[in-house]
This record gives sequence, C-alpha cells and structure tokens, in this order.
Amino acid sequence: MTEQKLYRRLVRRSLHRSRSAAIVAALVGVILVAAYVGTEATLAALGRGPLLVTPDAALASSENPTVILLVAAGAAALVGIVLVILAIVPGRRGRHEVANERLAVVVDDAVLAGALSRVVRREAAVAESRVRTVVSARRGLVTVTPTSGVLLNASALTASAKEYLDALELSPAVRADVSVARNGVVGS
Amino acid sequence: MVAGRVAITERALERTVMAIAAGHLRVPITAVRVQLADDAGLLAVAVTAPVRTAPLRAPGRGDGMVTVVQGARSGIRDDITIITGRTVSRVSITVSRAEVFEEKRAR
Repeated sequence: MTEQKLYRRLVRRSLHRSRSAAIVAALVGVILVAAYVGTEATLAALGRGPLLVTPDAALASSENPTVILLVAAGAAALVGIVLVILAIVPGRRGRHEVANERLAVVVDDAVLAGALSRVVRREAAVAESRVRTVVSARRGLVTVTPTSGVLLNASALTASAKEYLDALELSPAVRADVSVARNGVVGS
Repeated sequence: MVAGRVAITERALERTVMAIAAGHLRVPITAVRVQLADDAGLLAVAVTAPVRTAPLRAPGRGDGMVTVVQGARSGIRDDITIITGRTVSRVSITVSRAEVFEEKRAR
C-alpha cells in the first residue's frame, strides 16, 4: 500500500540525519574551485596576467611542491576523508521506531530512557533519583543505586526491563541491561 | 500487591537502631550513639554505648563484659533485620563507659 511506503519513508527520515548540509557545503566548494580554475584558464588563453598563478606555473609547481602546497593538499585530503565518513555512517538521530499497525511512531531516546527508569524504579522500589538510564541505538543501560541492606536482583530487574522493551517492538531493537551500583545509600 | 513503596529515612533508621541497641545493652536510649553506613550495598552499624556490668569482686557475677557485648551484637543485627527489613553486614560496638550495678541480695 502506498500509505505504508510513505510511512516507511517518513520514519526513515526521522531516524536518520539528512546529508543535505554536507552535500551543499561540498558542492559550493567544488563550484568555487571550478570557477577559479575556469577564470585562470580564460585569462591565460587571452594572454592576460594571472589572478594568482597561471595554469602552466601551477602544473610546474606540482612537480616539486612547496610547503604551502603540501599543507593545502593535506587539508583537502582531510576534508575528503570527512566527507567519505559522512557519506558512509548511518547518521542516526537518537530515536527509535515503535511498532504500530496503523501509525508511524517515532520515539526520542530520552523518552525511552525515562520509561525504562520508571519500570526499573517500580520493580526495585527505590526513589526516582536512584535510577539512571542511558539509551543508545541498541542498548538501554540502567544503573540503580540500592538502599543499604536491601538486596536487589539485577537479573530480575533486567528481565522486567526487557519485557517492557519487547512489548514496544523497537526498531532498531534495544537490549536492556540493568546494573546495581556497588555502593548503596543508607536512607531511602 | 499494592502499588507504591515504603521509604524509611536515615534518621528513622538511626532512631530504631538506637532503641534496639539500648534494649540489648540494657542502657537508656539517650546514652546510645549510632552511626549507619553503606557497606557494599549492605548496612553497616556502629554503636557507641555504655555497658552495664557487675562489680569486679562480686561473688558469682555474670558473664564478662566482652561476652555480653558479643552476644548483643548478633541480637542487634537480627532485630534490625526483623524490624526494618535491612540486611546488616556488620555491627561494631564501642563501649564508652561501664556502669557498675550492685546486685541486690535476696532477702
């Protein structure tokens, strides 16, 4: 169905960063360089003096390059590497898709972290401030500070967090990992 | 199970432990000082209190002071767990003073 296709597209756009900024910057650079080379070539063909350097001189200096030329080449290579990396990495936005039959649902990782914190806090019966959660693309890392003398079962807490995440059917899937801090706090 | 949770503040815990320790050492609660700390997720209890002891030369006096205090430690630990539900890792008692009591003769 076309609607499904549209949703898939919308979700993908929300989950990944657009590459248009990098593309615009790279193309503007290419245009400027091409315009400069064109200008120099035209001036040389008309027999006028160069703006900076004639094409012949530029070709000749590439045979035995100066320090400035080498530095410029290095900078250009660096920019090139950055652009290649930007093109290859997925550019995730810190969001996850929640499975839904009729709607396209995208949730911020901070919201997921808050929900996970709440689930673990209920299960462990500790105060809100004792639970810290960090959600990344494929992992939800929850840290609980226990109350001194009240033993917490990290694997049971992990199981309840996993159950919660499984019900959401996130994509990409998030693996819950609850750890209990070594040192607790006396009061609760 | 009902939703919600029970929170016990540090001060309430301290007062409870003070009362328990005072009971076991048979001294007034005001003479007892208690410090609670975390010990790798368990509760560590430090009690400073006077101890009641029989006169040194009393005939047939009771257990020695060390025996009495040692016995109190495990009693205090068990009571804390029963009353507050906290698992105690260690109970240390510092005897600050000895209160000598004269045993009354049976008449």
